Amino acid sequence: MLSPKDFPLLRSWGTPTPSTPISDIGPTGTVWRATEILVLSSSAAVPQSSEFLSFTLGDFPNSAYQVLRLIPVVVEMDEGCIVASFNEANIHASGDTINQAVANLRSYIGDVFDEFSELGADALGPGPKREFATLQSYIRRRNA
Amino acid sequence: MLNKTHALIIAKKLGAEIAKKPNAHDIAKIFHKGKLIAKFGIRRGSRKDQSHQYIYRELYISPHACQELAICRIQRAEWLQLLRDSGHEID
Repeated sequence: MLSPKDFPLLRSWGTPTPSTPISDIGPTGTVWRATEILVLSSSAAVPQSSEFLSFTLGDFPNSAYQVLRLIPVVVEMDEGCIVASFNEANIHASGDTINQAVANLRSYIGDVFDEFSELGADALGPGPKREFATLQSYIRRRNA
Repeated sequence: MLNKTHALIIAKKLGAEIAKKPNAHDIAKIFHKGKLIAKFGIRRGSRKDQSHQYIYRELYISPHACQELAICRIQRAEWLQLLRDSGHEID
């Protein structure tokens, strides 16, 4: 069963009910470079539908993007699939493992930021405009 | 479960423009009256069974409505109406 000690950066914790172990995470896998390094222990498990993992992501030193404030991320099961979400900006990604879902979310956040930036605020409808404003409050390009 | 095949069908049905990206996702962009009103990520890779069980969230609709969109029971005009009915601004 997953516990808060498996996620040193966890800020909150979902329903602590038994969950299904996943086999493809090694004894210790670094999945994210944040303010500190988020490490999944070998007991890391996929949350069941009633559970979620909630944590925040900080700056990525080798990334093209600077994180201005911690990005809240939720990982949950949806119809048997692992989905990682940055809900405030309506950005979501999935993966075969928690690691992959979070890595996919990370790259997708940057891609959406770039796409919105290229289009410009005037070309965005009300929803994407709000989402872009939210994104701009969380990240910016390092060379900007 | 929504998969990559569903995502591609939905992108085509909604008339999305696909922005090719070097990372894990391409981005399907849906415009209305010249403005981007929604987007969703399409995972790269050849596996058609890749989970895309998140796109309904990016399209501001329920999982059920998204499935209906994927199996052609809902068309673009009905999706736009669903957004209006749910109070989501598109104009």
